[in-house]
Amino acid sequence: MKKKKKIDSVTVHSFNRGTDLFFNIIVGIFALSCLLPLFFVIVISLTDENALATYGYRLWPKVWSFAGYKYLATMGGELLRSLWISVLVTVVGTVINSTFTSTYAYAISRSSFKYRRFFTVFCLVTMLFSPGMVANYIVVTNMLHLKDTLWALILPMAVSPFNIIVMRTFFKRQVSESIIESARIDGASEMRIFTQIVIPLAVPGIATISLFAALGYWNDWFNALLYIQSDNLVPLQYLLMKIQSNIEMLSQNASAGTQFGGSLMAIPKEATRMAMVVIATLPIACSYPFFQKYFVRGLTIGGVKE
Amino acid sequence: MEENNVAQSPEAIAAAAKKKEGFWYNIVHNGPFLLFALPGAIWMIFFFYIPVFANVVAFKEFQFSPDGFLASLAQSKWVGFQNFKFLFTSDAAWLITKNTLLYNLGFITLNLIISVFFAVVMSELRHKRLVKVYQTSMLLPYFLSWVIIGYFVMAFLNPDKGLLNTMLHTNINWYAEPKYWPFILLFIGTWKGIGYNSILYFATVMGIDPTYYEAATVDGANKWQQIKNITIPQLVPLMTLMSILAVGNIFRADFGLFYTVPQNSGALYNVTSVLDTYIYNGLTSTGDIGMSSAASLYQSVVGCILLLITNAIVRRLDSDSALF
Amino acid sequence: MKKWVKRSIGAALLAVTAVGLTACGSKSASNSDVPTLLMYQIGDKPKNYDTLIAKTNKILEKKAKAKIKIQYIGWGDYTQKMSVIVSSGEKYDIAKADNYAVNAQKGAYADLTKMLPKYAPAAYKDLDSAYIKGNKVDGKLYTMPINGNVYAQQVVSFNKKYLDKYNIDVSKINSYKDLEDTFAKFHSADKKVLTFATGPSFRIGSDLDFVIDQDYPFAVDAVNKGKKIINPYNDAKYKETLRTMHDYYKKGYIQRDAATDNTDRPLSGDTWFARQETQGPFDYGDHQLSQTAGQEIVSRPMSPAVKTTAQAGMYNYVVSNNSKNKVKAVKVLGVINSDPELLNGLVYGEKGKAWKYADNDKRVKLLKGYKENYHSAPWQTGDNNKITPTTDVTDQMIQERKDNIAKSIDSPILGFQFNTKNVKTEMTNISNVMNKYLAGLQTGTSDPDTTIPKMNKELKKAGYDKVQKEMQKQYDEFLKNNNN
Repeated sequence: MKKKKKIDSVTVHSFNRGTDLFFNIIVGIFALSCLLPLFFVIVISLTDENALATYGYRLWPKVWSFAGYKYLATMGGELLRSLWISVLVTVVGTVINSTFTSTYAYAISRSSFKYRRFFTVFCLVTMLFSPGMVANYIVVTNMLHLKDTLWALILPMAVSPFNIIVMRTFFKRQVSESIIESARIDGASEMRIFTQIVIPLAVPGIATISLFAALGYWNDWFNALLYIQSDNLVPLQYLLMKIQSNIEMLSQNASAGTQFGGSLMAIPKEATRMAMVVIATLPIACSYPFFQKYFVRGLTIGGVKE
Repeated sequence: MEENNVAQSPEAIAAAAKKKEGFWYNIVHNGPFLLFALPGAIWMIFFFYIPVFANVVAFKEFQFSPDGFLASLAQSKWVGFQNFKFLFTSDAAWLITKNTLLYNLGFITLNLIISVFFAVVMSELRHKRLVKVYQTSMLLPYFLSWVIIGYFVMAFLNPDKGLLNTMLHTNINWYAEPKYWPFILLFIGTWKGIGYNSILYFATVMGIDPTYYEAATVDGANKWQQIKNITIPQLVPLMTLMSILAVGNIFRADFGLFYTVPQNSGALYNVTSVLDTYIYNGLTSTGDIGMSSAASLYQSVVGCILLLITNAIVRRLDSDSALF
Repeated sequence: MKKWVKRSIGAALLAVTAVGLTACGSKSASNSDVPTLLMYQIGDKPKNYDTLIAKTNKILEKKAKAKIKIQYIGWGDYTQKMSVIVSSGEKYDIAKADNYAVNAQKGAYADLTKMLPKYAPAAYKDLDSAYIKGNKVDGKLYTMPINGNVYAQQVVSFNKKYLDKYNIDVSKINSYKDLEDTFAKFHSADKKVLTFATGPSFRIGSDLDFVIDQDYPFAVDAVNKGKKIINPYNDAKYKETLRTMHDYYKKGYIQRDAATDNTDRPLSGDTWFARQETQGPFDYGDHQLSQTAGQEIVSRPMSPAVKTTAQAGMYNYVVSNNSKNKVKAVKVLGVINSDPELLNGLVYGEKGKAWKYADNDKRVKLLKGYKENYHSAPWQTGDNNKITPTTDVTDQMIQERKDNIAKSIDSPILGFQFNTKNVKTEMTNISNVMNKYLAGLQTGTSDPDTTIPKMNKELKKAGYDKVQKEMQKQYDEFLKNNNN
């Protein structure tokens, strides 16, 4: 099938040893500076609340405490359920988003598509203006009747105009018209061309926009705020935000609503906040290497056909 | 298939094409592409083109009607540009506009240079496994909300307990000294987004046809020449695109960066006030939907105009890199 | 490559099915004589919501011929979500008002002026008159307020542990100025613990009542029945307090980064010596505060006990203007604000499990089953007077509460709702100017003698005079109509 030797990216992309070391140090230092805040978050999640007030935010705690995690453990069931919802929404959303985004981008990237200019501008306009929250809310609840369903978390982000424009450039650059033309001569349908030639060639691009979509879905809490009422459909980020704002409210208005009951003041606010960040960040950060794998694949050479 | 009929003369092909080029012919002929674009287009209609009309509220004095939003919108009184006034009449209007523009110009430039730098360097590093570690850690700040980053910054800048004052043996009240903040904000803003921004460039570099490099190596080009003559030219269209898009958003500032990271310190307002914080501070207590959509519309329209201008300039220089 | 595509599609199909299944939750609507009303509440849903609401609905069904379904929205989201719901015209029946006066002016809520006395007489007649006066918007009442802390005062609260340790007497302190010796004594004795914990949201107590809130510089002398809208920062006494704060700041009693410091200093902890709190009659002095803190706390008042508009609107139930069951909604609110059985069931949790009656049903004894998240808070449920007090509240405390309420005075601007319609632009400009200076001035970080002139100059440019004039005009009108 593939006659030419596949060129390993390692052989074409590499500095000589001295330069390599130099740049490794630069990039390494920068990468460390990016690791630092997560380390900081973990440390604070393990710091005693009163020590935090006395000594401030430090990179090494004076007094250790697991209170934040203990508090979160009391709502373990809820957290697990929300984690499942978040994973589900992220996976389904990412698949839908990257499919719709790349088909649209592919269409407007082809010079043989007569209406490409129209559809490009059609998409561009959506990036520049914003429809406003209330109007979007009415469309989702009154026209599409999605209130309190998982689709309300998925569909509002099912297409990303920004990614479309980015993908369009990708397709333009990396899928040359000549490959497609030769496939057409062979009698392949457009659908077949897209799935069997275009997608494999554009894997790094698709992996990138999929990653962007996945990050978007994972971090989203706003759609949940607007559309979700049922406890069973609350995604992780929104649940954590709710817990956070409730703790904050209670501790700030200790006296306004004094009749809250005594034990409540024992909730460690900052430690819990940071423990929640740890919980919300680790799963998605761990999924990154999965996407990363595809940044390099798909490096088939020239006009290889199946 | 028309195009493959080699026997016909070019004139004949053109004539034949013209004859058949009716609306329906075009629809059928472009059918597969239209189908590809269809889901996205439908989404845009529902999630953008229908709701976007609610922006007329920017020109209205909004009153509720028991019959729902549309009735409220229809029955509300037209007030012209009344809702926009607060964006221009205040003393600070010039300052916030200037701040927003300058910071965003700074971010566009820094993001462009540094993301491309990291993308290119990382594509050339020898240990691919190490690259993955670097990339994963560089993406981490992106996951942390501004509130968390704000705390992190405070761990350094807290006047009494902060690391920076302790390490440098200084006694600077960081949150009351405006002169440091343009640098702090530019640094933090770029630092947080760089992992995310460089992914795109990295993926593009990885997608460049390796035969180019192979040929260059055979011709005896060194690494630096390869980067200059192959990698960078291949990245230029994306760099142009990202810059054009960024210009379209030049009137929008990252609210969290300018509000949360300086802890909303009044002493720093001269250097931290941008359009988004100004709108937020002005409207939270009144919560006027007319004025908030007026603000957003203003940001969009200015962004739109600037984008059109930039795109026109780019088209003149290199028509292929232009957006449309 | 094909494998990759296939796998993705497989995963997608699987997941889509899962979404479909999860999304297919059943929705049933009952359209009988006993409608179920939708009520939006702020806060966290109690863990035993089903049990609580079942008991509540039993009573409501009998007394109001209606049931309720309570939808809880978190503290952080309430404003945003409610404003979207209200703006979009979505149907609901009852809610805790958000931005009450503005939304009432814009027509979001049903007019209850006549409906309350008619359909909720028991709850209505027991309301402190300040609630009715304070919540009138253009002469009409749009809410069923919860009777509770009708007045509030700013107090400075001391950590009793430190008072005992350093043998400090605070009983003579009645103003910020009086704090000087106490603070000096503590600060010299203990430099590690913060003397006076403040933060960017700290606002000094005073004799003034603020027309909008303390973040807008429009006030009226509350104690002397002021008839003029003044700029508090030109008021000699107010300014003097700011000077005192600045003095404390310079002496190190207040943290150096007070204007930006959001650090949480737990009430239960020992990281602070003094802090500012707000107390009302139902706090029974320091009783509630000490109980919440889990340690003894001693407070001294810094401002007079004034019944204000803000206090009257602490927790307002409103009926949506688009509700199909307005009468029933009012009836429900009437029952919620008058039926002790229903109130006790919500506020203390399940009877028998979480509490039982004691002292001939005059007190409630809390049992082991009383846990947080298994009941709702009194101040956001219903008339606090009708909730049976707990056993640790003595008759003397209740008498004191009644006396204190009787002694407290009405603010002259009680019930004055400023309509910003003609000065919206100026209001946003003023808000932006204030945001720049507020935290600095209030926490004593900036010197009032140099900062206030600067601020006033900016305020003038922002249109302060126009707003003040408009406000004075509306206030004169208000005074005339209320013939004070």
